[in-house]
Amino acid sequence: MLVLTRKLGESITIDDHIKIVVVQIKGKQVRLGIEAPKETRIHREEVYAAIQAQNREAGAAPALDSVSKALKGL
Amino acid sequence: MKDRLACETTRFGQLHLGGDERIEFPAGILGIPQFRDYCVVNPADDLLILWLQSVNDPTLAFPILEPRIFYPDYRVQVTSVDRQELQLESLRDAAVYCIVTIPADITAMTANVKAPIVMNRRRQLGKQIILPDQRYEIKYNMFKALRMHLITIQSQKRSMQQRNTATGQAPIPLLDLPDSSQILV
Repeated sequence: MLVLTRKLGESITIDDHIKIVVVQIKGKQVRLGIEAPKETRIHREEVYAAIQAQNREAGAAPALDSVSKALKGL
Repeated sequence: MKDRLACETTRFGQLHLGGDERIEFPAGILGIPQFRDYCVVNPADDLLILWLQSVNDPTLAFPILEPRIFYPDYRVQVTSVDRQELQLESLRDAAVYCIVTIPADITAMTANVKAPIVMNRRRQLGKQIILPDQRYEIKYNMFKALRMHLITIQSQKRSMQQRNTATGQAPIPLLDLPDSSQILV
């Protein structure tokens, strides 16, 4: 992993189109501003992790009969 | 069964898939990147839940549901990159589904409206995309909405059957076709 040190207001650029700025530093929190083309999807890492965990749980769904029985007994 | 791929599944037994029934997810499903080939299984049990079955892992299948069934004003925005990856020339070829998590307590069932599955049926390509919209939840409770929808369909069928009994005709099957109008670019 590439590690860089930046001060408040400084930025890094990734390729030609993505720019990340350190907007605010407050205690243990850093606020980042991101400029990127609108087709670039940007998400917090936790969102990815939560979706991955959710998918793994969903993919192990119970057998068909139990689902069917529970929903048909409306 | 010539030219058909035999596919073992733990839930549906052996499936025989034609070439046009397979859907490739080049990036896999998030968290399960090792499997890329899937097919959609419709158990035809009136529950509206379809299953995205892995062709490679017999035990792996995701229950999927059309979001309009439980989320009337749901909107999916695809980016130009998504469209390229899905080779989606026309949005009419797109089908949108949400993965449903079915816990032991069925009433606690949730759908992932944050990361829907978009499939290009013409090109047989699929992708799970993450929507930037903060309102959309990974665990959206939708048991009640699905139940209401099923009750409505059941009562429609019943009244249709009564009418058909009177005329001696076979009941007309109700079909819920995927709606691509949910996609806006």
